Amino acid sequence: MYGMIHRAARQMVLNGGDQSVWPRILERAGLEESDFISGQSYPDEVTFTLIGAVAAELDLSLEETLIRFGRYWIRFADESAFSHLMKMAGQTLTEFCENLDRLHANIDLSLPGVDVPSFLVRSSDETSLRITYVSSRTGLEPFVTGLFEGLLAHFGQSGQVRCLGPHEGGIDFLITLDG
Amino acid sequence: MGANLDEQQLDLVFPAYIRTSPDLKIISVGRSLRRLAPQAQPGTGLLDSFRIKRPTGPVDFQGWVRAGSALQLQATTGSMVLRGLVLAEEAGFLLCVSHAISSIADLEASGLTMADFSQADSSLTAILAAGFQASMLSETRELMTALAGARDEALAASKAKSAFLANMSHEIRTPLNGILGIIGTLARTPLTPSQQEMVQLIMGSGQSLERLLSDILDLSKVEAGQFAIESAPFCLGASVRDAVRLMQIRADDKGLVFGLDLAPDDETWVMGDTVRLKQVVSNLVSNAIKFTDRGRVDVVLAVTALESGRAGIRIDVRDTGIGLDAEARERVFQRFAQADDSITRRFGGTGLGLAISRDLAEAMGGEITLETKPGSGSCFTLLLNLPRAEASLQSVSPLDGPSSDVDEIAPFDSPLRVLLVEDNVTNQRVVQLILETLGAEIAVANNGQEALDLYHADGFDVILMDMQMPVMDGLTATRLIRTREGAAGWRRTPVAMLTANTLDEHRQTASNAGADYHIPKPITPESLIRGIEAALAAAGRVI
Repeated sequence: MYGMIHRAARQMVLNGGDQSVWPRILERAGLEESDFISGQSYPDEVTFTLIGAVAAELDLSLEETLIRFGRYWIRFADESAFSHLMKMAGQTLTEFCENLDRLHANIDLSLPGVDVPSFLVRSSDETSLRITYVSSRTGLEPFVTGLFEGLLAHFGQSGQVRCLGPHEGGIDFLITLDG
Repeated sequence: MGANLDEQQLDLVFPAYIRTSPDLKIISVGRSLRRLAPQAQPGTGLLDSFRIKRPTGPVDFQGWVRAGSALQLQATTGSMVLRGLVLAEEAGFLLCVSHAISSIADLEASGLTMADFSQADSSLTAILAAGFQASMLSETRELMTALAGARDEALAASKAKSAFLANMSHEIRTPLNGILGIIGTLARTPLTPSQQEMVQLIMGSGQSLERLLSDILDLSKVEAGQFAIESAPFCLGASVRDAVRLMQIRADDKGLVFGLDLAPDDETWVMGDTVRLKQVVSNLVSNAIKFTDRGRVDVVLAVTALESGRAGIRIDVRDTGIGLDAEARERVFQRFAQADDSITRRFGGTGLGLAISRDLAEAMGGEITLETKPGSGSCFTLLLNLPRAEASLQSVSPLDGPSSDVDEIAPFDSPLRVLLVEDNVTNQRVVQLILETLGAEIAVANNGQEALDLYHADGFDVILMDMQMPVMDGLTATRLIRTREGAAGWRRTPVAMLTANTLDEHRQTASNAGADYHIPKPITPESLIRGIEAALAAAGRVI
């Protein structure tokens, strides 16, 4: 994965307040400053090792860590190189989700060798969105759950995100909006 | 030329399209313009809502269609720019245009969304790439700031370390002065053979410690960028001979043959730093002897005449010692490194000598090269390029420490009157022990103020002045003595700075204060006497 994911993980931990945690995570993961260059692609193992170290040092389950990271990723992306495209992707949660795949298609063209997932809105109405997530990676469903939760917060909406399981080559998620 | 797309299809392919009648009245516009350019209503004139920036010249849609000219429109209100082509239709013209983004800053204010761009349009990718570029630039700036901070911290740490080394060297040199001075004096008294051996062992250990301190001081000077190289005429042959004099004795002690070949360049004079050249040669020869168990060590001087009155100097130090393999050769000039760890145990040393020698050679504008083979010995070569100089009488420079050892010191012809200004009781005693055996009369002052109290016209033949003392330091005392002499018209009394501060800057500061000579601690009976003689000579006085 690209180094910007690593930077996001670092920022999430540093935002947590306890500055002594991050050096321990680095040591546990065996990473150095050179592993945090946004525009550089790193083997997935490096990223997974980092996330594992974050979970261990924060004393969280891997699932909970990925959910938190997914939520944080939306905040991070909105202040990163993606910020312009994030704003252009939509003013509402539904509009944004409908453009989510297009957003990733553009990332795919901008970063050589990047392996981005795709998102297909299966159905949407005023109370819910059903989205199929397709990725070559496995085990990142909690991250996607966190990501949709982050989007709910980003658009000032409340609701629940549920992973429905495999569907037509992908994993289906249901976002249910409150009220 | 015709286009058979309905408006729904056109909305997808060109969300900002404009369809007009032959007289340029708007018939319909794409979904993007319906949202962002509400003034472009059907029935209104195209040129009421848009200015044609390109093609320039008269409006000629038919001509532009034929030529396939690129069309660029600027909205009459706001900053919207549209680019594309114009096609002819039965009912008029179809402007197949898209939003043009000239800067990310414009994008913020434009209100454009993804839906305003066709799937076939790569503008969004370009926007993302621009975002990445801005992000990477910001990241690079962050890294540069962090690196600069790390560099500053490293420099500050290095500076602090150098200062610490210099201070510690000074602190160690002071008691070492006591040890070497007293043991030197003791060696001149009647002793049994076993006592003589013990005294020699103590002296040898003290001298080794002194050499180590000098190396550490040199290293701290290199790291602090304070390595000043002097330029004065000197005789190459004499310098090399001087550098190897003591080494010959060590080679003899190990049963090695020592060869010194200076001809035909023995009498070549050059401008440079003879002290540093001797230090390098001495280091190289010392190393060669250390790492050679049998065979020989040879020192060969060769000078090549170069253009512009310069001399290409080559000094080979060749041995038949252990030699070095490729890996050891890589490490040999690194600080604190020796060919391998076992060498330190087998041969001793700190691993600083060659590193300092290389630094010195480079500071003199030269280099040290190495040819070596395991088991077949090594040849270290010092290469320098120095200006030639005219031969002159070699004189002792003021404030230059004594360089040669003497075996015999004769008592003074008449009692030498010495004012010793020194706060350390041991060091006072060392000087007293050395000079009293030679019949000197010594008055002791514990600091600069006491020295001023004792000092009077023609009261002393020489003043030995420590530099760092409580109450009043030696530099201040020297300045005041010179001022007093000048004001009263008294004869100048030679002042020799007797101090563990051996950096060039200290010597210069002492000279500026009015000192005539610099005797570095630790002192030996020989260096003290020669220093006093030199101070007297520099001041135009004789014992």
